[in-house]
Amino acid sequence: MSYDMHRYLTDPFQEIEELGGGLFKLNIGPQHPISGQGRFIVLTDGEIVYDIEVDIGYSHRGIEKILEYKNYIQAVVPLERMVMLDTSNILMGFVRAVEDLYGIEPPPRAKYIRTIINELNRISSHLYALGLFAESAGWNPAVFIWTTVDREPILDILEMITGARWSHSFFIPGGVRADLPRGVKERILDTMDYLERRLEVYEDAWIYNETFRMRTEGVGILPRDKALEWGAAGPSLRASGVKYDTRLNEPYSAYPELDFRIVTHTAGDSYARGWVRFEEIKVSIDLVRQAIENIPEGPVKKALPPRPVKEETLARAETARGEINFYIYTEGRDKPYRVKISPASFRNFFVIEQMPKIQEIKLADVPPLIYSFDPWFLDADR
Amino acid sequence: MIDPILDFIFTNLDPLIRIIIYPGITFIMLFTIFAVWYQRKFLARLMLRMGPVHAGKFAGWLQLIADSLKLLTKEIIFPEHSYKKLFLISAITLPVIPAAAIALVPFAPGYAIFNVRGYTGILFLAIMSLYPIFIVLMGWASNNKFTLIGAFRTIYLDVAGEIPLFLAALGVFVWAGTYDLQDIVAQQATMWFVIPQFLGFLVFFISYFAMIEKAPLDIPEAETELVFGYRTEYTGALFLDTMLGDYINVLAWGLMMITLYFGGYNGPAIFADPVLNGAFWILFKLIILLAITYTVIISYARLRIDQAIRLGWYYLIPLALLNLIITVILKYVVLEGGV
Amino acid sequence: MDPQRLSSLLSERFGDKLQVVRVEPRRLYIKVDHSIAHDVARMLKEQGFVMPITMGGTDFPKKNVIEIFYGVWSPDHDFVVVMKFDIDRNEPRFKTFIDIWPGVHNYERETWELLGVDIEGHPRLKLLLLPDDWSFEEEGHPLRKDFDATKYRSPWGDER
Repeated sequence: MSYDMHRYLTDPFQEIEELGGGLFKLNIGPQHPISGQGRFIVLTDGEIVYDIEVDIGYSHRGIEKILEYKNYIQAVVPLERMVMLDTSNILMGFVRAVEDLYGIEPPPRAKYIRTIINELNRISSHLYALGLFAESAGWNPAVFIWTTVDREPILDILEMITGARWSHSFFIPGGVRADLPRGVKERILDTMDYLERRLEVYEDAWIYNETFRMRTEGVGILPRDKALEWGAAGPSLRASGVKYDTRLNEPYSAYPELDFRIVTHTAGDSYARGWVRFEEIKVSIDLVRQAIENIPEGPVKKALPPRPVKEETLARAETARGEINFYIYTEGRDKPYRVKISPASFRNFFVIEQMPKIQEIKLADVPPLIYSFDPWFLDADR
Repeated sequence: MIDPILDFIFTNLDPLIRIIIYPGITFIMLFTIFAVWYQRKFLARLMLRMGPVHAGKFAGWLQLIADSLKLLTKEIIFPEHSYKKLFLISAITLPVIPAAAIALVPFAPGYAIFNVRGYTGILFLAIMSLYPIFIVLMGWASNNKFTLIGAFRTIYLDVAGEIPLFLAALGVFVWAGTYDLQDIVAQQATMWFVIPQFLGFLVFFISYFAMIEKAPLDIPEAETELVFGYRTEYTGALFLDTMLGDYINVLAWGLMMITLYFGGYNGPAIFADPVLNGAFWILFKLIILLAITYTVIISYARLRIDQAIRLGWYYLIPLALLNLIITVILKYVVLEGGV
Repeated sequence: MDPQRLSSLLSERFGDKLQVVRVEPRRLYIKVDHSIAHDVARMLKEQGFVMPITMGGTDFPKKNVIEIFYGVWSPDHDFVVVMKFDIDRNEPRFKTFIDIWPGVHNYERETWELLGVDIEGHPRLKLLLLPDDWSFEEEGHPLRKDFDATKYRSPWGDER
């Protein structure tokens, strides 16, 4: 088979069915050092990659179907299982949708507590993602272990506030479960100072490291129009120059009252995606500081009215991996009739599949390309 | 009563002692055990970890023994449709090659396993250049896509790394005016060759990472895309064997670097016995070299194969040639005044 | 442009085949006739709604329809349009929207397998989330309302 790159440019959905001419399919996953709970079928002749197919669904739990059997409070627990690292942000979308359906607003203090927990989760998730990204670029696990170590104080704070390191089921429609414990403010501020010091070390050690840039710059360039068309989400979208962040574009929680910026990059390559994630950690640190300083007094939860006032809603929230949105249709009962979850990783996996069709990718580029999108199979599988 | 027996042993069984005890099999094995422990602990410290702690009373020093015992009890699996004889033989032969090369390295004045004079430097490089061939054979015999790609990459990397390394070594040979490793070490009693051959040393040091296949040039192994490169399919005792080959390879190239650039066994006399003194300085230099190696391993991301080849052909080979020219001019024009 | 303006623009163009369900500050829910769905989609794309953010379907056995919805976002106008249309539940099929919004590729695959909607012209209709040995004849489509999820309880029992 003679390979013709232009064949793809005309039809990006064409698959190579017949093999020949020294091409073979490489199964990266589901048991592979980098794969996670999914599989990447890579069509290659040794070094140059012609096609990537992402095989998701290894951990499909049918959360959308499960939610049809649960009421809105019970739904919180299965939902959190989508991304363990980022539980509160995933939940935020659902909680927003339910509050929209019932037509209520949470009390202001609850909004601030939500913001703090969301941003702590985002930092934790970004640190994890960046560690994996560095490892995928061929680093010894050093960076990954540094970031894992630095996530610990954040998880400690989350445990202090919610009682669990992750999957804390802390947000409920109408507010949060409990108020902040005593002494948490000093602890948060201390941790944020510590993290800022660590970020300076990271900058020296690997964000601006020459070999790291060699490996990731110019790999998997996602142009702005393609990013929009294929529906890239989160840092991947912002690294392609689209100034969009649900936290600002559709303000929720305490975000409209806080001062922050959207981190964007114009290059659109793997390095830009990692860089955006890194800068977002700094923004999140700033947000946590602002929120804990300005937190108002008052109650932290509100009771839901007996019946939803709306029939359907589409709520969006920004998770660490990008936008998540919930389309909920209800028949006016306390259970959803249909929940459609559209997570960020699901969209990003499709973008990964399309990348070899617009650009030459080498086999060694596949791990950094994939991990620059910060994929999470449980997120995509639901 | 004891002394005549010892004298008898040392005079008549000396070659046997060299082969079996020092610097032969026992030394190599013990050094490998130490190097594994040292690598684990050193990398662990750089990664903010503890490293092994449980096996053995002091800092988990028995961990490798425990690992080896576990691996030895495991089944050796031959992959389907693999070339079984080659699969077995190439893995078993792998550690022998760098060990054979170590036989030529002097550990004290006139003290090497294979105590010959003459073209030993060239012979060392010739033996070491067999090592990648066995890696290719391992990758090919395994009948696995990952090992095959690993084997291809070994060939590419070998071409990019071995040529500048040999050219850099040639600079030393020209500077010393001999191929003989014992002569080269003896000449460094006053000044280490790293000073006149600094450019060559840089080339040698970078190529060294290609030859020992460690990060940032661990491209054939490339865990993130190729699982474990050419040794993906090896299990149990054979896997242990390939890892042994890996560590002895590091030892051989480390000894070569010390011999060529850092004065080999030379050093201030601490022990009266020249063999003991040589052993001390060689080990001392090796430990420092390994520490530098591990620090480099942890500090850089892995290059892509095309970047590694570009590094080899665009930068290292011209640098090595430049070093050769400078060496010739320095030695034959500046120092000796005329060709 | 805000949702109000777009809704009037759409109503003007498509008349009573298009029904504006609800207008919110950052949302516009419209329900269109199946026959004009692609025309509406094309017009939305011309208006700058290039980025699909969600797509799926809802099963209504009582009304005997499956309601398909597409959510698209525009970077210029910064709001979401949810376009919905009904298809017949007995003969569930519609033409793919990939040529208009390429990003709905996997969403349509998912709708095909989970809801049993045949999507004409889709280049790769193969199982995405369901196991490879899933049989539509024996087990059905999970998001249909007549699918009984309770038979997939864990073998260790539901109660702890």
